Amino acid sequence: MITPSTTTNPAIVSSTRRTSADKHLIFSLGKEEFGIQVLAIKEIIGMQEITPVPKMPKHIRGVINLRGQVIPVIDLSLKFSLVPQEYTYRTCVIVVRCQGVSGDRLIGAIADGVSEVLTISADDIEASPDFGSGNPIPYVLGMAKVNGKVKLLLDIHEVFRTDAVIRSEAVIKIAA
Amino acid sequence: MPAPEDNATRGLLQAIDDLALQLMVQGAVSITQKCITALATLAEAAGQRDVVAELKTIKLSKSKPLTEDFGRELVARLQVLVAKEEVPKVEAVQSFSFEEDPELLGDFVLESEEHLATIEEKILVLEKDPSLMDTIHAVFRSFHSIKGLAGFLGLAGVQAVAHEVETLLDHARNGRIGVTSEVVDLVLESSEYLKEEVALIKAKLAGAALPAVRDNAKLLAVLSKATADIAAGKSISIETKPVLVASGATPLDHTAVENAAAEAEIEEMISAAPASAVEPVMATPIAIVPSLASPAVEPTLAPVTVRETASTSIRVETSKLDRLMDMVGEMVIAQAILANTRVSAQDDASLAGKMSQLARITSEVQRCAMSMRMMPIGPLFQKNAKLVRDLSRRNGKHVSLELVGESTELDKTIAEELSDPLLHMIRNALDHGIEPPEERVAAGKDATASLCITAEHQAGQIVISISDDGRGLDPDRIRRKALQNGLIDEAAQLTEQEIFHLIFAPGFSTAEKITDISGRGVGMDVVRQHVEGLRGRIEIDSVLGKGTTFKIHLPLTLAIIEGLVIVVGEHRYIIPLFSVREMLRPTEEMLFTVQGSDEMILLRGTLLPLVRLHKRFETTPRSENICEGLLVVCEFAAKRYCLFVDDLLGRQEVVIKSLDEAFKTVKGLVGSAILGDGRIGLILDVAGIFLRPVHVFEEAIHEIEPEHRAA
Repeated sequence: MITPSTTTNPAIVSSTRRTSADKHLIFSLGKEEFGIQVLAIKEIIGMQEITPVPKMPKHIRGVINLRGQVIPVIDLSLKFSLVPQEYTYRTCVIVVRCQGVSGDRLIGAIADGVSEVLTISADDIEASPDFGSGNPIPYVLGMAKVNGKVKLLLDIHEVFRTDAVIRSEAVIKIAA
Repeated sequence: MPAPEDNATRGLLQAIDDLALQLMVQGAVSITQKCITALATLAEAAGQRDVVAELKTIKLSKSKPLTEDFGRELVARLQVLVAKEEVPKVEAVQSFSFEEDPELLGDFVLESEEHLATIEEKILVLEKDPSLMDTIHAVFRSFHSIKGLAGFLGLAGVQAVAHEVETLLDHARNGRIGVTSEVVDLVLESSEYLKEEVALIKAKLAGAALPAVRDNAKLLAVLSKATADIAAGKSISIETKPVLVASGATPLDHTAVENAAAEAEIEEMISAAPASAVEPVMATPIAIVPSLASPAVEPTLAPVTVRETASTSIRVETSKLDRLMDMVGEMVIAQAILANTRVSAQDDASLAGKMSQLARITSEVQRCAMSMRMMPIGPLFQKNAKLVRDLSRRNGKHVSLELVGESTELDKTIAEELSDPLLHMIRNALDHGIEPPEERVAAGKDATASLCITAEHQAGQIVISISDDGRGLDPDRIRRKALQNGLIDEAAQLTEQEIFHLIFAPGFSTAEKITDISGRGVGMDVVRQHVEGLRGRIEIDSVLGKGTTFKIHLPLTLAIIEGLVIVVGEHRYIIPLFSVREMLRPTEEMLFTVQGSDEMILLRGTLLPLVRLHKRFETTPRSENICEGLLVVCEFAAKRYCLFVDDLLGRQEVVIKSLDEAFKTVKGLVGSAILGDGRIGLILDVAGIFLRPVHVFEEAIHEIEPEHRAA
């Protein structure tokens, strides 16, 4: 289910005047909209059958078979503690490439739907919000204002960092 | 430097060699006046006046052909004459060194390493059966190739030694000498020297400073003496002491040299040209001449036709092979899915035919792809054969080594990983297992111990066994030692197998004293780690006083495992077959509870702990009732337990895919695999499942602590 608007070929992207780093894929989780740099995205696929892995935190849904590669799938709604949505025909898995402990790894992120690819210049990006705690949210790169709407730009390396995953799991266990 | 004359001399030498060969192969009749004239022309070009003069004296005709003896004598004389001229030039070659093309040198290193490996392998085969002509030729060819390459690159030291050995082997392949253990010693000694030289060149290529060229004069001297002895008809009496040669103490064993004149001659050779290959060899034929008339020459030996079989292999990066394996695996699965889903095609007979054709081709492709990574275990065995030989000599133990199943194939990665464990186990057997000859005789055994290494395929596994007929393991002593070292406590109830496995514990050694071979207690730990890393297991079979057998069970390949597909609730898991001992449907009477929470299963008189997989993985099973499920008896490190699962789906070969680092916290999993229907099954780690609760608890604590500190 690759939508035509989500061309990820860097050759095409870089041929435009703006740098390819400015291109962001916009997707939605519930009512909020997020953006990921197009360069980090390998492909977008439809929802797959997920094989759960035992003893993992809830947002790590399990693993899927991506043409022979077994990759983990993370539900971003659960990860960001948003209201979980039903999986519909619009639900898709964004496969991103990010740095792991031992080289690159592929991770699938479940999104409620992808909408478009936007070119967002640095001028339109504001620093990640501070809600009084003094610590900005680590995995938010910044907030983009496009056509009067706000989109959160994610730092995927931060979002999928393994040790962050482990820590949040430990916290959940203690909290329980 | 090299004048056209020089080349001409080489040509002449070549021609003389050819002549000698012809003489050997076809007899004297083949040598006509034409050959002699041609030789004379060559000699003239080379400026070898002595040779020309010599040749002029010979007049041949049909009625008066050359006799064989005379022909040999002639060849010998010619070689000596040419060699005399040649000597200073060899020195010149020696001074010419290393500014050559590093690429060529790199090729030389690679090729030489291969040749040397062949040499070591074959020569040990020869030691057992000296009559194998093909093998002698193979060794000869390898030395010859090294000599040729070295000569080309101006590596005089290497060339000289290779040449000497070649000469020695030439005698062997012409049946003038048998391949005795002395000859084998010499050949091994030389190949050792060549190996070191090659290693030096390799180091140099890698940027290390060039160390001094090792003095090979002594080795050369021994070699040429041996050759001379053979030539003098004393072939059986060569008595070389390679160890002494290596240390450089006594290059010559004087007892062997009965002929004082010969001795003087050899010493003269050594002093005249310490590292020169050509001179001593050229000199030896003088000694050959008189003895050749005697019936020492085997007339029955057929002329030798050496046919070089061109090696038709290419080097491929393993990553490419892995990728291929992956894709083939995918293809197999895709094919299986296709075969299962041809709904509309049921009445189309031709489609069914094509489908089954595709299935056949796919499985053949898979087999091919898998076999690419396979290699015979032979070379690995050979490496150890040499070790056994060296060690048993050094220890003064008599050991006869038997190798079985050298053509057994296994994955290259496994073969490489296996090299260390094998080495340690053999050292261990030689040092601890096998007694000195006196002790053996006292115990009523043959003074020569036997060490047998076998490899065979057994039910989709490769089993390598190393058995000796030595002391055997003493369970009481091991137990005592383990108590001393604090590995076990007094109350521990251990089976014999479990006691035997204590020897794999790090730091465990029953040896009273540490020798240079073993005794530090490191070796067996290495063995265990390697074997476990390869998903294998070790069985020990030992009878005190009778001997010990170690059996290493290994998977054929690391990429694929055979597994049992089991179900718990809605999830499917794969248990690696190598860790499964048996499966059974339990009855209520077999279940016992320990202190209300832990459960045990009484299986044929043995109590085994029960682990319910759904509890460990916190999932919902179909049934909690033990009678409605299945028990899988799992084993790791000689420990057994029962795993309770809902059902068994079947047995399947799967391609192992590693799990993402996000899952490294889950202790009971080693990976995942794609099952026949395209869905994923998780592969269980039987040790991890059993040991799990403690680990998870500790880890949770570890993870939480920094959080608390931060807060």
